[in-house]
Amino acid sequence: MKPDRLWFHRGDFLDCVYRLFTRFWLFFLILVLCFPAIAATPRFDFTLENIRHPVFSIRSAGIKLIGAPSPTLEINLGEVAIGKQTWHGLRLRCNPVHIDRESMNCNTGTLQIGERFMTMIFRLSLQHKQFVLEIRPASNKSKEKWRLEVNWQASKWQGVLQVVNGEGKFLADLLPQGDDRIQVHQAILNGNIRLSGNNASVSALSARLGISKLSFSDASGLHAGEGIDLQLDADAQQKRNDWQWRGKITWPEGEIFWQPFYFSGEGHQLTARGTVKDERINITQGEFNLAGTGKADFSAVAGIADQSLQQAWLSARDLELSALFGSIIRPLAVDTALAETEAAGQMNIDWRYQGNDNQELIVGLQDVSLTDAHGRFAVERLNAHIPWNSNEKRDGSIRFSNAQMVGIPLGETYIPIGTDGMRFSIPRAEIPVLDGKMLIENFVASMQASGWQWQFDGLLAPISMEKLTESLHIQPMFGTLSGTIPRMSYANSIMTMDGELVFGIFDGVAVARNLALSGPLSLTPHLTMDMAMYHIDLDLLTRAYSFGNMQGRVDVEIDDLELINWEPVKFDAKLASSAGDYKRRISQAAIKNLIALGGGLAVTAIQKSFLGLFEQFGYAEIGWSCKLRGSVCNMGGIGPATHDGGYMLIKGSGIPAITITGYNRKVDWPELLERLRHAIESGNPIIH
Amino acid sequence: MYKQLVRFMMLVSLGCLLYAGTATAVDFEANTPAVTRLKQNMRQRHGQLVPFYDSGAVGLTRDGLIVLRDANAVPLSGRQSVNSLVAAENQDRNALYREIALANNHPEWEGNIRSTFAQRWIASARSGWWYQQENGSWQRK
Repeated sequence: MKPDRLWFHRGDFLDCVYRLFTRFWLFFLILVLCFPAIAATPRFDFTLENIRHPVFSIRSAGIKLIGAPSPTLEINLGEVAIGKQTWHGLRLRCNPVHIDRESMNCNTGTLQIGERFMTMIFRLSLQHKQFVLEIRPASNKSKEKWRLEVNWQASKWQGVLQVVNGEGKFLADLLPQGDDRIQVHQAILNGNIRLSGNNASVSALSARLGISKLSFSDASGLHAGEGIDLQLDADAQQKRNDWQWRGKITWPEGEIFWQPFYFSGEGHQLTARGTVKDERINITQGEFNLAGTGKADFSAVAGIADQSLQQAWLSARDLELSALFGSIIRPLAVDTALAETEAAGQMNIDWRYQGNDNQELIVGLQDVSLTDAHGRFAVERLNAHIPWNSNEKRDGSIRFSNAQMVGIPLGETYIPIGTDGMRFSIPRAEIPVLDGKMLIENFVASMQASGWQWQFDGLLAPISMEKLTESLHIQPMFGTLSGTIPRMSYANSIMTMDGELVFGIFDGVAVARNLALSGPLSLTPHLTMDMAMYHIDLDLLTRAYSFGNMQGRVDVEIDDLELINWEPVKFDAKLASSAGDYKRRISQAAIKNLIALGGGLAVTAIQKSFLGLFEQFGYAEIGWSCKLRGSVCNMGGIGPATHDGGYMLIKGSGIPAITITGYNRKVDWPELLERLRHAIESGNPIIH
Repeated sequence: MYKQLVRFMMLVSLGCLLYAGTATAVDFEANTPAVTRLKQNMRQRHGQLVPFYDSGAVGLTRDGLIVLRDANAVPLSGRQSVNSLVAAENQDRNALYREIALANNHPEWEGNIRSTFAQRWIASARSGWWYQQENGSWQRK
């Protein structure tokens, strides 16, 4: 609302109405005084072409007084404009109108505003110092009535507007409208508004109004309400140069969608009191009670002229997070992982705003649980105290009893945090992960032009690979995951790791490097890294997978590994026997599984003949390579191709020895995995 | 001799053009794990969106996304969930275009892939659904 329309504050419009009313009365007094002359010539016709005022303008105003002794009064206004709103064809007719020196009465009048016809009664009594105006619609099934009564003594006056089943849409159409205007489709008003004042100024007002069946919307439907009932109770009094006011709005029924929020009326209540002074509205004490969520106390100071919020304070205790999440947080987080998160618990908020800036925000969480609908993360019994100040450092903490991240369970954790403007830090935190832990040091997050960035140094204390792979629902592995993380960083939506992550696996050592992960909680997480494993014990490996026994040691190098949605789409992998002196044996079952896996693998006819005779075979070297591109694995073996175009996977040695050669260079990777899965699960490979 | 040379040159040029065309053809059916996951997700959501396409509440935009174009066609209590559906669908669509471009080893093709998909979505839209024309206006199919 523009300041020049705040009539109670500026008084221009009221002043104008008062003057108009006075002049209108003077005009009629002149008419009355001249009545004998009028009676002699039973017609008075007076036309004003233009009446202009900064607030309103009237064109073609005609006043007619016809006939005697019971004259008819007719007032026709061709066009009335107030602000941007214009009405055409306003017509007032009183037949008859009784006019004498003390009074003017109209008991059977009609008022026409455009297409709308109303019956009208008015009485003006100078003796009783009273003016009464009563308007009802012409076809009045709803028993609609608007009654204005004004009484005055000397310079003091008081008025009461009483509304019974008032058509609110008509009133709303009178209000100034913008281009993106909200249309009121229906509203029914009941109640009264009382005003009192001195001369042209208002000194007090009170309103007890009920608005029912309110429906409104803008053209797009993104701001709309339906079936709304509201109860308004407000008082205001002028004390010297300022106004003191109090008000209460109760919303028991109906629904509102205000993009992106949706609320239904369940007894929400807003109460406030304050002052209006020096072009400022001051809410000294306010309370907003959102049914089902909780209540917030607030105060604020707003400038009327520039429509600015100059300072504000809000404090809320024990807000129900489940309701708050559904109605406010989730709609604001549609593009984040929180969009499909259910929450429970309580929340405290303290917020201070001053000088066009947020000064302080303190968020407290009590026994909160967060659960992602897709099972990507969950937190239980989360308690937090997170203070933030625009100018000073603050210390807070986060504590949770247990959690899970992409299926990996996390134990009870305490995280101290520091805030400094838009910079957040965690000096040190230990997070139990399965049977080990993750140590985070020097965590710093800050808001940059490209978005949030963070980084930390870390350490992984031994975590069981068996438990980890079980949690991730992937092929089981044995060993431990541990090592230092020199620097983990997140910027431009990509998480990267500097240095090497070293972990023990199957009695060997694995090294991960050049790790980059984007969208870890999205539908399409991307992971790229290089990985190498040294001195892996084949005995432990094959026993873990029930693949048939192999003894020996291998080194594996996987370069340019790329996982999309945790599935490999690209890598260059090489597996070769480790250097050194160790036992090199392969069981009959393992050989059969290898043959089954490869499809095109072959052993010599002589070897086939005694394959069933021995349980164990000796070998000198194992070699396998795979360049995965999409779903196709381009395979190779030990050294260059054999004379018949194959590639040697196992080079036999000793007695009995076995050599296995592959011939299929291109293998469908998902099919290979399926065969491996089948071989591991059944222990009975499919022989091709 | 001159004519033969010209014919040869034209054949070579045509061959180069055909090769270039083949070499730069986008594989819209690229089937990476990400594309598979996104398509599966979008397929599951499609059933929930159909009533809103039918009522005209949701329309297909010219840039391969969807938008809540007439919220008045949805009851107030349902507008928030339609908003969420639209946001989730657009998130997946944007990811789909990006992933197909990545699967083709040409991230810079994302814009063209998006345009092609926009046309495909509109072509496969049912009669009565609303789509955005090139000039930005809305048209009922």
